[in-house]
Amino acid sequence: MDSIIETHNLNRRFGRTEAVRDLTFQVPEGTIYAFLGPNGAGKTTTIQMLLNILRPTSGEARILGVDSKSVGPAQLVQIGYVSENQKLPEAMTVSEFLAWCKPMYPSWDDAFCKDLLARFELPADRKLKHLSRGMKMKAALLASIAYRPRILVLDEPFSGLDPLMRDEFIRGVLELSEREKWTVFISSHDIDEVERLADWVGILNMGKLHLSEARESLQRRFRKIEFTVSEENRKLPASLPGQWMVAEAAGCGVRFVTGEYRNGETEAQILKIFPDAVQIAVAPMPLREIFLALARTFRITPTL
Amino acid sequence: MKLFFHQFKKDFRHTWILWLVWFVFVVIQFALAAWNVSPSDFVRQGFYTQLAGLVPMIHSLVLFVLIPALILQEPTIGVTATWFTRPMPPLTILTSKLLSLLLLALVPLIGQCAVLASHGIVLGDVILAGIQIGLNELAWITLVTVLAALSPNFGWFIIAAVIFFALQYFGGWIVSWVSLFYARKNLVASSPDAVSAIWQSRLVASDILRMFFFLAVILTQYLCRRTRLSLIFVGIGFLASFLASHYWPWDFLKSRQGSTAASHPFDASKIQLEPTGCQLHSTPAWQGGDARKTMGINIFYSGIDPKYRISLQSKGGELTCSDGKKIPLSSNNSFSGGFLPPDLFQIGAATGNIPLLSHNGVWSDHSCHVFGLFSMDEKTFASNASKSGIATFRLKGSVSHDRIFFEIPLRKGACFARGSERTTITGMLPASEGIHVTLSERTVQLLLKPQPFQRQAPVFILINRKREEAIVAEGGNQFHGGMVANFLGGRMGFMFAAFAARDNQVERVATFRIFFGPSENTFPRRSLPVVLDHAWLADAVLVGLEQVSDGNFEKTITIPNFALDGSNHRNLMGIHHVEPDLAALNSISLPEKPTRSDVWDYILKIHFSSKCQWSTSDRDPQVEMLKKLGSEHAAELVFAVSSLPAAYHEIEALKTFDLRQSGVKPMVLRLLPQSQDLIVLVTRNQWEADAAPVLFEKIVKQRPGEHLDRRWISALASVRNPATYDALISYVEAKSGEWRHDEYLDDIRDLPGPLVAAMVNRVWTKVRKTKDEVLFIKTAATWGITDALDRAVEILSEPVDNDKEKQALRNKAREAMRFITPCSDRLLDADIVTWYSANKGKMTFDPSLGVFLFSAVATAPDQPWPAPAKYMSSLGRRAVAGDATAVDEIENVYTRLIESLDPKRDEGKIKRLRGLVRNAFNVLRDEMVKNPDVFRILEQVNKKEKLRVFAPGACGKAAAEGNEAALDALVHYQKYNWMLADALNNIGDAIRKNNPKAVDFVLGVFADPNTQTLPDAKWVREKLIGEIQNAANAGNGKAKSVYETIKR
Repeated sequence: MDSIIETHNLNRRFGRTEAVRDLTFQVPEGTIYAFLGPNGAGKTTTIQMLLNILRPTSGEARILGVDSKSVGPAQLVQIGYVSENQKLPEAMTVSEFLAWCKPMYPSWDDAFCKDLLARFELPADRKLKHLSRGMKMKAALLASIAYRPRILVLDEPFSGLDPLMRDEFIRGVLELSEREKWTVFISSHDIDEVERLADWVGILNMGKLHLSEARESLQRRFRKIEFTVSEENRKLPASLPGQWMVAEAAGCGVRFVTGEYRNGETEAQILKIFPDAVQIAVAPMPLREIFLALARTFRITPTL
Repeated sequence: MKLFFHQFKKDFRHTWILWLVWFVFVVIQFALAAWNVSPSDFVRQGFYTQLAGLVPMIHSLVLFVLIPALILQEPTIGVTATWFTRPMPPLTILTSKLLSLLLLALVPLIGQCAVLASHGIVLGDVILAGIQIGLNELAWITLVTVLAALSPNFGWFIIAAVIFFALQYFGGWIVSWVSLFYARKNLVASSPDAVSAIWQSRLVASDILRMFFFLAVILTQYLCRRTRLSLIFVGIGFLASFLASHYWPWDFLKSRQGSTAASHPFDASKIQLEPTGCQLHSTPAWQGGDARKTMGINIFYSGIDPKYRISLQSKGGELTCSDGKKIPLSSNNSFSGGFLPPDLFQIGAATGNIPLLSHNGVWSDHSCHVFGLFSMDEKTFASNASKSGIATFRLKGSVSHDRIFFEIPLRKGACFARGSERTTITGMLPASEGIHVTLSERTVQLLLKPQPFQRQAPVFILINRKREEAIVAEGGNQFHGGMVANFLGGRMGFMFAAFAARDNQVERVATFRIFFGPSENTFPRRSLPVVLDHAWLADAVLVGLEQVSDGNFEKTITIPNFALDGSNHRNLMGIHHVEPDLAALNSISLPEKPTRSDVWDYILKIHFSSKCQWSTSDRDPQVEMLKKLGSEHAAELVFAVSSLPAAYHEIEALKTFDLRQSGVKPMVLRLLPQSQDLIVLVTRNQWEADAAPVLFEKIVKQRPGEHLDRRWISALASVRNPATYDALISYVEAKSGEWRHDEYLDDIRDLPGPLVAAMVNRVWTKVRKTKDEVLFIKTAATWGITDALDRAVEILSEPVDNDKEKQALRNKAREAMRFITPCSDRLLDADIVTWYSANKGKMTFDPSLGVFLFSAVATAPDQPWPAPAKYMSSLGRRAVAGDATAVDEIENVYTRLIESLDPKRDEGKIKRLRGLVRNAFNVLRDEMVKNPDVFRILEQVNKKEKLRVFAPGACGKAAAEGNEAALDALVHYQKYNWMLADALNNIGDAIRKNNPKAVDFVLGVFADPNTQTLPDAKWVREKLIGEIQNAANAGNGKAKSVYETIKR
């Protein structure tokens, strides 16, 4: 699968602060990539570098096969971008805003636009500054997908939205991306928001990427394992395998998370270390729990 | 292109209200520019001025809102702008914004150019004005655009603007202080010549550089969004702008207009410079500068055609002291003082020497003042002040002349245009002695076409070419205020900007009023020799003179024995001389059949040659030269009296003409109040009756202490108008305290005698027995005041006092008695007293003779009492005129005068009284020279024994002029019963003219032995020898040989 976004050792410094450090990842085309991390992790900075809003300090980023520093109208015509930070032209009405955007995009679909307008229930004659936050986001989204972009970049699109709006937004994105086969690059600090959406996950913290992997792969290799030992509150040995994360003993029970579960091998490994282990239970983990385990392991600020 | 228009429409749509407001103010500014407010309408002008200052300010403020509203729709700062992630090419957005900005500059520019063109400004100037207006607009627009482009939102834009203007304001202070301290040593003002128009070029370059870098900022922000780079451009822009404003080397705006900016050299090889009076000024320490001493000096120049004017500037010099030490004398590029207004020569050269009717301050003595010959700090000066030596100075001179640059008929609406400049006559208001002309002057001031720095205001002249008369406008125009008719007004801007809040008016209209007539600044008011009436003005044209540069030169002057403190430098007096400048006068000639212009030029040259002559005389050659003009050119001489200062020679020449048929009488009478000397023309041409109103007004309106020419008084008195008597009497009465009061009384002798005598009596009454009575006692007596004689006798009765004043009084009293009464000169004081008491009742006053006599002849009450000498002269004139009774009357007078006198005892007094009578015979004497027939009257006189003694005296002059009868009478004196002494006394003139008959007579008498037997033989011999000597000196051979014999 071709990468629609890729970075190599991408860096961005603001003064003495390294907002993004040696960031290297790829986003396969056609996927929904969730770019996760706490506030201040560098997600928005990364997106801005991708879209040539900011220049990288060093390293390389490519989007749609073009160096991000050369991203211009030819590329932007294929990119839809919605961001909580972006200031819409609030003096315009919704229809004026759409009318302003339309000539820029040869692939603008009026019918699609009208359909979305109706679906999102946006008041066409109301000025953007008079819209609620959620409706502004909808208007931004509308103006970013009416021309059927090849890639949709969503930077914290859900912040400030109530659950209902959020749910609508997610459903809308899901539906459209499935139908249109778009690539969606969505950044968020809320794993629950993207759990339903993401095909791929990248986790960023303090400018550094800790993980970039397909969700299936993640869920395939991560298991939560619990077993019982004879000794209560047994002190865990110091040299546990590196892939065992957040191991803890509570009473006679011991549990840990492993990012490299192999059926049979992992159990054998347990018995080797804990010969008296019994009732070994292996359970798959939702993305959230995988992230929390990783967070604890990598000392990511648990704001997710 | 579609996207471009799409973007532009979007920009406009969202700011259309602001565009509308902006457009309204643009239209208002056009309307203001097109509105011709009369500058004399003060109310409207004030309103207009306020609007014209306010509207551009509001316009600027509208731009201050509109431009960020345009720019900040697509901000270039930050990361949140929508357009960053939209496929709108930055170039498209930039072009759209630039088009909007261009419209903001272009619309006012086109509109204003249209207004200027409609006002008649020439195309070239409209283009330059358009560039200036455009650049002026762009200066503000680019500034606001850059501030907006570097701000993420309007709030930050305002903050940035406030910071910027605060920095500029305080930065200006700092720069000023730094400049001040940096330039501390150079605080003496530099001559404007030294910098020419470079400062304007620098300001223009500064603005353009700044706009260039601002444009770079805008391009960078939109195309690259490299804000750091943009800020660098901003910094470089301001730095480049600042440096250019101070150090830009290329003066690309150097004035192209002629006049004083000429750089070509002038041949000054014949120019002589003569330094004269100098003045030393002290300048206190100021703003960090040192206290200084600066010397100014006057320099006379010659050797140049008077049509040129010179201005001089010192370039410094050196003093070589007697001990060899050299002291540098820097001028610090002192101000040259500029040119004085053109004088009469320069005006004449420009106008073809048309005679001028008025002076009006345009006479110069061809000198100029150099303000800063040298300048020295006080410390150095103090240590060298006493030093003197030979000083040399280098002077830079500028030469110019004047030419007519416009000539328009004198009527309302007449207009002169030169390029874009227009001068129009807007009104004419006759005055009692002249005319006020209001002019509207439209000038165009273009930054890109600076005017010459020292352009002088034109000189305005009214010329009547038909009559060949002209008058210069009175010095000092009266400006009615008001100008301002222009788009560019006050605007916030830059400290060092050319296109900023300063005076950016392109089109200026000023009205001013000039006055043609006698100067309103003199008191009392002067008059013109001719009236500027309707007829004169109908043929008049208004002419403007402008100064044209002829080049520059450099010369060195050497001043020997020059002291730094100027103490031993000769002053103005030093270059004056008593005698006329013969070399200059000899070079002046009058063409054959001169025109009026030739005559005027001739008069001016003669007058100018006298400028350094300290004392004048009627025997000066200038008078003879001017007499050559003849009475047919008397009018030009009268103009000269009106136009030229100290027109002494002109008046002397006029005195010799018979002006009764010349037509200058009205002119003379008009000028009389301001030129008292012209009274002599009045009396010589017997214009007293016509001049009487002028004379009377002068006397009535005289100011305290003002002295009137005595001829005024006598001229007015001669008219014998009773309405003037009181004024004349009062005037003379006021002079009674002066030592020449007798003369003043003589001046009013044409008034009825009793009237004058009454005034004399009042004066006598006041001074009697005061210390002033010594001055007046005799005068009172000569006017028949009996009390004066009483007082004289009273004084003589008093004991003799050695007090000087009392002795003087006594002498005067005695004199009064001896001169004014028949009292013998031989009497002692006590005898005089006795004589007076015995004869007082027998004497009466004889008004014609001014003495008391036993046989006085009274006169009618309203008859004047002439001066006795004049009375006798009048008798002589009557006799010459053929009045047979005149000789009898002369005899009668003589008889009355000497009737109680003893011929032997009172010989002296009789001789004195004969002197009075001789006045009558002097008339006969003078007339006999011209008219030999007068000798017959003498024969009649000779028949009267008493008068015979006067006859020989009447013959002498005529005999010298060849009158045979007169000469024969002297030679044959015995035939006429004359004394030899009388004959000898009166033949001397003929002897000195080497008259052979006269010489032979004297030689004959000398040889006659009988001569030695005469009672006065010794006297006769001495007299004869003297006359023989005179004859010998006159070239008579016979007399010479006789004299030589006498000598041996």
